Amino acid sequence: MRRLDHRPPALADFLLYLCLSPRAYNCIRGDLSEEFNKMVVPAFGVRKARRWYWLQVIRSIGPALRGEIACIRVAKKKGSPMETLLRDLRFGLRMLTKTPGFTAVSLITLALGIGATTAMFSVVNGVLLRPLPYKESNRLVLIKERLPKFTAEPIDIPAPDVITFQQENRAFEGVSGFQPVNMDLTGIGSPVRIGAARISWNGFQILGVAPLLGRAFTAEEDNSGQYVTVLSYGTWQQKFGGSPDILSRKIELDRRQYQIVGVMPPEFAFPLQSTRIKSADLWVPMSFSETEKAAVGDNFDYGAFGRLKSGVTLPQAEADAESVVRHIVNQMPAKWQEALELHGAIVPLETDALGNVRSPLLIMLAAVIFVLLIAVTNVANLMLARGNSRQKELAIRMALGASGRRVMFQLLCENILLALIGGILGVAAGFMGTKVLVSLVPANIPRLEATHLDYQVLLFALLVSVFSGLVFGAAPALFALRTNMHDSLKEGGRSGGFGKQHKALRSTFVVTQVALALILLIGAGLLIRSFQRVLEVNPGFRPEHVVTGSVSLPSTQYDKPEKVKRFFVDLVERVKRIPGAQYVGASTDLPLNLSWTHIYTPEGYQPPPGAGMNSSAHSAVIGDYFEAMGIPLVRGRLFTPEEYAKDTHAVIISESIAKQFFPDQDPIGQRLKWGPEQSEDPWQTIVGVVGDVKQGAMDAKTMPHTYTPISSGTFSLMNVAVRTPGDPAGTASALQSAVWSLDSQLPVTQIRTMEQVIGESYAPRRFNMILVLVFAGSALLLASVGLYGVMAYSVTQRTKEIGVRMAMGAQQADILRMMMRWGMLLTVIGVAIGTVGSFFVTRLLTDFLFGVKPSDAITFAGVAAVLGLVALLACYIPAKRATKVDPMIALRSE
Amino acid sequence: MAKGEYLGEFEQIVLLALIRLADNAYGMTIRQEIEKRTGRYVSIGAVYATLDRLEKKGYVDSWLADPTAERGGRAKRYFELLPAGSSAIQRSKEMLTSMWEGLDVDGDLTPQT
Repeated sequence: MRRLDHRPPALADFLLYLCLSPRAYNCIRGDLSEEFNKMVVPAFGVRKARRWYWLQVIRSIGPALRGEIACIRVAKKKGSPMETLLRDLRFGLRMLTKTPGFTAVSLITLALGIGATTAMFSVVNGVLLRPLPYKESNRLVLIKERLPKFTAEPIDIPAPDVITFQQENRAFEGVSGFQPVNMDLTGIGSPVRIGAARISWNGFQILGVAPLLGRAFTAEEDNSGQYVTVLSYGTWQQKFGGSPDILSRKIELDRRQYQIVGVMPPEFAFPLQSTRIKSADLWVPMSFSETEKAAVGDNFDYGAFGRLKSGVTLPQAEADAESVVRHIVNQMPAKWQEALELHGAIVPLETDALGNVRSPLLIMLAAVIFVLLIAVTNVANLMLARGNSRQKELAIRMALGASGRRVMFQLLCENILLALIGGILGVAAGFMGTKVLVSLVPANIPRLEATHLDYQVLLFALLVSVFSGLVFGAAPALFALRTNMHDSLKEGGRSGGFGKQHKALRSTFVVTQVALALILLIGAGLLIRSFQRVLEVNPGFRPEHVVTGSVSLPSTQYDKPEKVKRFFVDLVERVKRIPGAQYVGASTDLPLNLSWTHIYTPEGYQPPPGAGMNSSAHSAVIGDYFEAMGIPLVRGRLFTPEEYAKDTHAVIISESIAKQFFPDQDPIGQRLKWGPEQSEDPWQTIVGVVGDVKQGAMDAKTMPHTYTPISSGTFSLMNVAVRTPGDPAGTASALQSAVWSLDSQLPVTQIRTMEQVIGESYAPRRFNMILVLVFAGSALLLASVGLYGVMAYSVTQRTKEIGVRMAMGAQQADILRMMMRWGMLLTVIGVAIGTVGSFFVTRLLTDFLFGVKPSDAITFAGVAAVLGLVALLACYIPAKRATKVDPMIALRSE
Repeated sequence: MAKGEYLGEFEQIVLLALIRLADNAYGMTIRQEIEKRTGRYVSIGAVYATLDRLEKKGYVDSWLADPTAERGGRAKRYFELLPAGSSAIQRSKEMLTSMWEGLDVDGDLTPQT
């Protein structure tokens, strides 16, 4: 038949299809093609017929889009897409309030998941994602040096090298030195020690931040060492009450009057380093002293940073740094050149500031996303169960003319509505969660104070909510789309048309939850075991009943070495007179907070070729420091009062040095010297061997330790340690009074018991552990609720079957076994998948573990057992209910 | 009397076409009938929009017949006038007649039936 060869224009058809409901499309398309083939083509020819067809379609679009063309038979209220959406939302809300139990459980689950994720994200956003508070901070880098013989890490550089870098670099727009220092602030309230930073005059300019008030330093002020300072916004507010005449005021620092020349904006912070607790309260000019300028190749204690010229890459900057360092090395004496083996290094400022916190924060974010996934699958499971019971409702609606698309859209609306309400609750929970999180976080995370709910966090929460809604709504909605109304209606009162597929999907969800929960639990388990191990570590001293305080002497008053030494000798004597003071001593550094290291060479020691230099933690001590701190004497003797008074080159070493260098001989009487063999330092005679102590965190490696008496140098900062027979808390104020009796303007800072010091060193680990534990606990709870829900649902579904079985003579135990077998099978599969997953995931935790392998068998087995027990319980309760089924009632209910 | 009970012009035209076509009233024939008699271009969409509106008001009823091959396997949707529809069109005619009564306008103006 010729006329059937002519098809109406396909594009026009498609347009029609898009604009009309499927039913209306069917009718209209049928009418149009009948007329097209039967009348228009024979009468006017194909071309004109096609044009006619197009015209018909185009003229029909208007009424179709206005919703005037309805589906047949059902009188439906028509509206714009917006009205449809609103109607769907209203309907959704009605459906949610109709099932308050379901809604409450879903909302709590979602609020928990979204809230935790939002809280964690706001921390990550505040700390990691926001750019540093400098202009184009990606071009800011730290200039460091590398001493491969000494340590693999790039280190700060000597003062003369800062100046050389400022003069000779080619890769930078500018280079500035900086150095965090502590200064005594006097004249405002009681004397306090504040954190300050020295910074070159061009430092603020390189950072690209202008002062809020006043100005930065001038080159003249920096070079001539004038006493000027720029305050942080916080210092201006707290110490001066935000006084507007601040620029005419002076501030007393280390007993000198500093003119205030500027105030930085509130968001400015420098230096930002993850190893330092907070940025400076004020800044003073770098103003290198002559001594500093002369200390070539010594005191690797000065920071330097620069702004890369535009277009300069990191490798180029690295090469430039190397060439500057080559130049520095060439100026040194020949024997130094060989001994030092110095190289240049470049570290992006951001890496330095956030490097240490990036991976823990990201791991926490990943953990919390696991919790969110479990929460979302839980809600999806609930949805499926409910979708099943709603299948009849949906079938009726479709029989009455609602299209599949329409029903699916309606369901999605309902789900996203649920997710959004969950999201709002979640943001509220996250808001509180963020506060809790920020208060729990150890102080070593920079910029934490900047963490708050901003529009980015809200946007994130919105995205997470909509995403969750789509995820947990997709499965039930797709099932709804495939609803076979014929079957659903025919089944009458019984629900459950998709038995098999539903069951498979729900089982998959449960297996996923169990696997995710297991991974989190194993992570938490490993962290707990690490923490346990850390608690077992022997710090090498007895922390109980010891109180310490730090005293720093300003160089203005205490300008002569004798004055400094005299002060500390007197101080120890004064403190000894405090009632209850058993032993009193002082040291340049306290255990767990040690920063001073020495390079040393034992006499006659022949290092194996290619070996690095020997470095030790070093302290200068006075008084009964070892007794006060409870560090045991292993061999020989402690320092004598004569040695404290006059430097006789006596040294006390820790056990590990004795073991390493004098394994078969008495170390007492042996000698070592500071620096390499060639150094001109005098030989030091070993007089005693004491136990090793932890210098850094409890979980860090113990370094060899050397001690010299206070007479070996001039130390303006000492930490006084007092051992008391009982609770040392009362000693703190007596310690302060003792200091003030010698100098009324001296603050005693960091007054803490050694137990507090140890506690602080645990803080980051404890925080990570608690956080992961909370996440893992939530995961376990959610997963068991999920398993319970699936089991309970299955019992309801199989009531009739159970009834039949019991009528046929099945015992309660058989029924229990039958019901539990499936639940436990899901658990076992989940545990198996989770265990395999954990092997990979826990490797990411390696850096956070201590004394435990990432694949620790005990943790894996223990956690699997715990999860198995919880799962057993979650299955048992519904299964037990199944055995209570009365066969008569079960059969009659059909 | 509610406003909805008055018929619009196109509604009247569609209802009259329906009456004329009797047993053979479905989308295509209705459209052709109107076009043939009024000489006015009518889109199928407009016809359906009006028919759906009339159905909602309870003036017409519709049902699907068996699909046919010439329509690409699609069913015809037949329409029939319901008693309410027939009294509505009657009312419209009476209203117009009474409005015209006694008027003498140039030209041959006789209301069509």
